[in-house]
Amino acid sequence: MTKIFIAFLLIISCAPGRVFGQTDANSETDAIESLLYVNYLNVDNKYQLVKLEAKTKDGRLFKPAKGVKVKVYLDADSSEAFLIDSCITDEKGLASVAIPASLAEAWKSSVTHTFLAIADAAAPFGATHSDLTISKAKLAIDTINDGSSRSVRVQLLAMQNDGTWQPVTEGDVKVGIRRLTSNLSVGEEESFTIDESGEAIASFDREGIPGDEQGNIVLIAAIVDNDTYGNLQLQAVVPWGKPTALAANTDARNLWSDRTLVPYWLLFLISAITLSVWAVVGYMAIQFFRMKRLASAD
Amino acid sequence: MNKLTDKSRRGFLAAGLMAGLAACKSGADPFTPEDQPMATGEKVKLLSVDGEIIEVDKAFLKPVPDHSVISNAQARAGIPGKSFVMVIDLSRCKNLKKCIDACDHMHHLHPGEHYVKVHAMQEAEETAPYWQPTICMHCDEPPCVKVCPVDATFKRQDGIVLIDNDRCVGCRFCMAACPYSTRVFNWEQPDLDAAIANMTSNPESGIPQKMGTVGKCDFCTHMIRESGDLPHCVTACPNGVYMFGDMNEDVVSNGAETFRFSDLIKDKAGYRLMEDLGTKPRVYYLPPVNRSFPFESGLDENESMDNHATHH
Amino acid sequence: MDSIFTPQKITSDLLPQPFGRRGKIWTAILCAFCLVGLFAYYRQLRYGLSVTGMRDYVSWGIYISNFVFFVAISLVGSLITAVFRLLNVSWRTPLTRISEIIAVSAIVFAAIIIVVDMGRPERFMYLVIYGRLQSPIMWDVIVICTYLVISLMLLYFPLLPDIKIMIGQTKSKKTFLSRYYRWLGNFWKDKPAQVRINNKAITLLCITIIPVAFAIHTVTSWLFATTYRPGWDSTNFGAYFISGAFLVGAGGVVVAMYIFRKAYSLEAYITNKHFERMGRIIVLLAALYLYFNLNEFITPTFKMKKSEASHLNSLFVGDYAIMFWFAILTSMIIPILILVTHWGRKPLPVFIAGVMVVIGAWFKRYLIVTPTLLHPFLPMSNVDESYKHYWPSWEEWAIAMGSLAGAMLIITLFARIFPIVPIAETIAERHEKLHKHD
Repeated sequence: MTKIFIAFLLIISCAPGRVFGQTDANSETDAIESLLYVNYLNVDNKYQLVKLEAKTKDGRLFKPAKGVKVKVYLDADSSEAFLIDSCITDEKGLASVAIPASLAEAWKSSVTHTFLAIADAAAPFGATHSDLTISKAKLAIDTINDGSSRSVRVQLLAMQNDGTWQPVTEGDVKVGIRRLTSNLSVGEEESFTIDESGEAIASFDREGIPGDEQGNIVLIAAIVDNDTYGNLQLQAVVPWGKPTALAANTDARNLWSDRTLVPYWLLFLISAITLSVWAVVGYMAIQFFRMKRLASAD
Repeated sequence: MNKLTDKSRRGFLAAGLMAGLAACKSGADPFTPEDQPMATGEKVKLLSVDGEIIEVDKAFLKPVPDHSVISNAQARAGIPGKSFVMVIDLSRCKNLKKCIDACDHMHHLHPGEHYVKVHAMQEAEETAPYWQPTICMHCDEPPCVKVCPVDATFKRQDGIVLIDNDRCVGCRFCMAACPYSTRVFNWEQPDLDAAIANMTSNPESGIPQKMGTVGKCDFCTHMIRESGDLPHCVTACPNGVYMFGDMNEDVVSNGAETFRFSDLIKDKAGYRLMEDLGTKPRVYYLPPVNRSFPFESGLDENESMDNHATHH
Repeated sequence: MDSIFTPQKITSDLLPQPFGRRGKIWTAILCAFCLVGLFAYYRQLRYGLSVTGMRDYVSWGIYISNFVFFVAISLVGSLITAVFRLLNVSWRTPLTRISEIIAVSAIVFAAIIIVVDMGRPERFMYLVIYGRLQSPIMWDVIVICTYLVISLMLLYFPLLPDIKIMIGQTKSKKTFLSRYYRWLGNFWKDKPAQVRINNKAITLLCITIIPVAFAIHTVTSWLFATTYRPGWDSTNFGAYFISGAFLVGAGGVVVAMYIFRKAYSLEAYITNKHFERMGRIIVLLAALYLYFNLNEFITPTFKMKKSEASHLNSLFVGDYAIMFWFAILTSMIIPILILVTHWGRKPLPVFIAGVMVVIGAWFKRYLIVTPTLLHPFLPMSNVDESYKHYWPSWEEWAIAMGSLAGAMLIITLFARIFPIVPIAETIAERHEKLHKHD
């Protein structure tokens, strides 16, 4: 049986990070608990998103909390100068904010940052807050081709206090091929361990997987819910797929084609039969008018 | 060690631009940029992990599911470059009917009519019974489309067979022609909320249902188009029976697991229903071997063994 | 003895007559059936096809079997008029107009009943705007329109000399009817050139209508035979339908012959000889249909493929066995047994055999449509028990009976307005015969 491969993007967007949510005692009923999850996502070493998820817990029943206004701060609590952004959760209870350029100084000031999220009440969701601390990290991806086999080398680089990036020598990284609704693992394994030298080597075992017209496929490396670094993902395009022409033949004349694409044999058959019969009908009409004309002619 | 080629470096950068989207819209396909939300032209300045300032279009930052109504022509043409396929693993089905409930709910179906059905099957007296869900097979040579007199049901370039409720004259020839009996008819005025009943009709979502017209499973491609989500039957099934994907990508997924379609079909001896009829279905079945559940676990008080029939 | 049949006597014998008491009651009954049918159709338009007994599995019911019945009986127009004329069958004259009006009224109601069956009748014009030639339904639409036009012509062209007689009879009056006759045939002056053109036209129409009639019924059979369903998936279907259609058409004609003969006292024109001859023809056609039935049922029964087995068993020994054997006996075997005897070809037994043929044929069409739909390839799962059976609702019965009544009403009204036995042709024939005797 093919090895099961978890769709990690799904996890990034849906699964909880760490829960720090605490219900404000004075504003909430006992029965319903309000939960706020904070998650950090770094995409392609560039964009940084703080992802939020609001839920209510009633007994054992979790429900997404819609319309919850959340303010997210960088490091300093409730100081408007350190406000990242505010957002409102959607019907799935999800929202995200991006770190704006105005916070450049604060961002550069430290290797480790804390995101503080403060949610307003939106019944039945009660006001609460939560936070998440991460260390800055980057992913690096490279390809190895030793003639007989192909591999992907992934490194997780953490920022040091001196501002340099050094490989992390522990943790797991997932490597997949991006597909329509999820990612296909590059081979039997879905997850690869970073060794002491700071590398995870994922062997590519999907020969002949369809790519685009040029045979390009998108590889994705991802760190999922790392306690220190949060979530990171990086994609790279490699020409390892089978070139695939994606244009479908839409103008074939078939019995199941649309009305403009009648098969010629059928068109000919129907036209020939119909026209010949209606020619007789037309001839009959002519005869009718001939008889009519004869009435007046003496 | 092989450096990435120049070409792929450029592709890498291009892919990077879209990655912000990927964070929220996991289904985004790098090869079909027309699926991406329209750029607003309005830029926002963001911070990279390095502390550098980067400019991003606002639309990429907060992509919302594209609920814009597609035109009838777009719905009829289908999604370019796609070739949708479903795999149903019979070894995992125990007749929970979660798929039926989810589908009925999302398509606002008439109570008692279903696009998804789960049949109790038994080939012969001595062979083992099993549960077989059926949906529209989206045949490549669809007998229903062949017989439609007004192009109300049609085959798209992405392989999907759909029904245009605004075109259907209600002759029901397609229902007689379908050997899989997957089509249903709106015998009476559908009981819909005003908000749904007044929606612009869209063949891709099949909503709203209209009296006097035919309906059937639509593979939920509007979900793929809008948000990259899997069909409702796929996500509703707790046992991962349904796997949906794109044959052009050679991948199917049930949400939790992702398989290479060709390997899965080869390794598990996949087959299609009523192959001898020549309809070339797009729904593949994996045989009920090494089952997760005994057949009897799916029996409820309404289902008796005499209900069984054999498949063709 | 033909000498007593002067043109004047023939004309007065065959002129259409106002309804008597029985005629009025008959017409009122037909109108009542039509009105009930219309009311049922109003309900269907309002509440949708949910008022019928049809559901997702049995998606075609008695509307469609009624449609097939109408198409079948309409075939008689080409049988009696065209085939007999081309074969120069001398005794055909009193039967041609009866069969032609049966054909026209039946095909009109075939078209109506198919609109009744549509879930969206207001979209009927889509068949023209968006018509798709790949669909057998489009073939049926084309061929029904063609057959209707040709049948109307074949009714109208031989009617011209009689219209002249009718104009002469109503000259003094200024009624709606007299104006209608003049509008229809004022130009007909019995000129030799007109007669020549008319005769040629009728011959050409007779030649044309035969393949069109075959087409209409073959295409109708293909509505079923182009699907995979057990009981429909048959290469025999076209011939099976056509032979059945000839039979029910001939049955319909003898029934109409008998009734018109009684109602209008036409014993001198529709003679015992006509019943005798038609009796023989029905034997031939019933035997032919029986042959195609054997052909249709023996081969799948011999093989008993799994997909066919439950369908065949339901017909032979199951739920539909009584109806099946009733239809076989009444539409073929009993009529043959009656009509092979000499006494059986007297008018009354021929009439009874004709009625049996028509009733049996109606149920035969029901058996062609419904039982097949109750035996799909996959089991009927996750549906209400009511989806697994079919019995027509009162609305369906009312509409079906209303359509049958409507077809009979057209025939009745036609006979009220036009001579049901061609006058001019009868006069010409008697005249010819008289001269032969000289």
